[in-house]
Amino acid sequence: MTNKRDNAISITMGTVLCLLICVIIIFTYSFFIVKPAERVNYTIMQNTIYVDLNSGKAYITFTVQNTGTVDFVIKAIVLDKEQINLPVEGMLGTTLVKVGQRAALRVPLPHTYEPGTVVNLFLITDPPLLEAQKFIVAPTPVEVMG
Amino acid sequence: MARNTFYSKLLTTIKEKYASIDELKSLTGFIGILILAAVVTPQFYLPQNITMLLGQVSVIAIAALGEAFVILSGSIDLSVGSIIGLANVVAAILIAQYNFSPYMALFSVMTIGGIIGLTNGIFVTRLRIPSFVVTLGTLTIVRGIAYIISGGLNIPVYNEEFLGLNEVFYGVPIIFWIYLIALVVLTIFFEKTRLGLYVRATGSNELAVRNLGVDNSGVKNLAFVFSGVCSAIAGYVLGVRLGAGYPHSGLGYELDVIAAVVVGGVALTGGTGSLIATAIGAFIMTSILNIMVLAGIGGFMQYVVRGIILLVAALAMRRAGVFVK
Repeated sequence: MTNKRDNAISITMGTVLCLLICVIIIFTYSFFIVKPAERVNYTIMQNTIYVDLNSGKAYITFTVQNTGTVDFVIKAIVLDKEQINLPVEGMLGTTLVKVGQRAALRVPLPHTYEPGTVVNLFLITDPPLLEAQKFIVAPTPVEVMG
Repeated sequence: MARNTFYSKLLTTIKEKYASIDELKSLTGFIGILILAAVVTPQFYLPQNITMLLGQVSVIAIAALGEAFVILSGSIDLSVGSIIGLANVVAAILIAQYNFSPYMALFSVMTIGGIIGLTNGIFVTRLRIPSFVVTLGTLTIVRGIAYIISGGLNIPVYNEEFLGLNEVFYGVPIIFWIYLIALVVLTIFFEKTRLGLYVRATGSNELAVRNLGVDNSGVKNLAFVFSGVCSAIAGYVLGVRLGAGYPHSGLGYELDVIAAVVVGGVALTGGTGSLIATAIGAFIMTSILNIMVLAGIGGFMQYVVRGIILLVAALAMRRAGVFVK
């Protein structure tokens, strides 16, 4: 009778033990075998194009926050259809954006823009955005330099 | 006279055999539905529809396997729908965001389902809280966790290996093969092992089983673990079908799963029924839904018809004396 009882109690303990082993296998797998997927994601903020009406020179300022799971480098900025490869002469700020951090950039533009218009800003990064995320386009207002 | 006696004896033998084999009753109902389908919607028998039906039935049928264990042991598990939802979301996150292989993701969600099932079991057996109340609580908690970890958003999965499980192998969806494997393994466990016998015996007469020296608490815990694991597999299979993790997936599935088990002839009071009959019950419920869709019956009316079928099944069980202990 006692023997049977002891064996029966081990049903629950056996179940707990099995589940514990499974948990250990999963944790071992997740820590040592698998690596999290590298996912680039960011938010563009405070983006404005400033134009000097006297000299006709223009520059863009913007801040990028890395909200993905991997560091990335801004290789180029695209204003509507015009691509400007970075770094360019006279640029301020860094193109490397680490996970969770912000980077502010000031990039001189090759030609002027009409004040009052809006230009779409898109970034080309390394590693690149996933195809499905290509909607991250920031409408950027063009303003006269104060 | 002698001939009459022979026929009456033969009839009695057939009746006794019919009454003693659980699967025959639900099989009769299923054949009736197949005949109904032939009359009402002949397109039911199109190969494409059959393939789709097999895919549809897999989710409910896998979850029903585990639920059958719990009901046979004399309890009930209402958390299956939420475990399906959580497993669906977790599998999608592990594959899409943590680069888990689809098979390791399946193993992981099965473990999570098992842990939830064991928690249910411990609350029921050790803390003596009715299973209805415990699993009602777990239903809400697990659904909440699914919403929290997904942020309420859908998680698309682009893994080809994972999505490949939605394809057809020898004319049958791969997910249905998964179900068949689960059915065979659990049926062997249920019919051929001592633990399987204990599950039925616990549902039939808990006190007598305990007096025999069997730890019925352990048996019930095991039944809840089976239910959790099966629900998790069902959630994974649902993810394969949807190609994504949806935090609201599996909502209300507990009722479909319990309905499949009851229609299959498993007594809600425990102890009576089989897993094959449960499988037939799942087929009955899914086929009726499929026939109604093909016949153009609206969604609201479908609820009414499914409810009526459940009541008819309950009446048939009452007539067979299943509810009497």
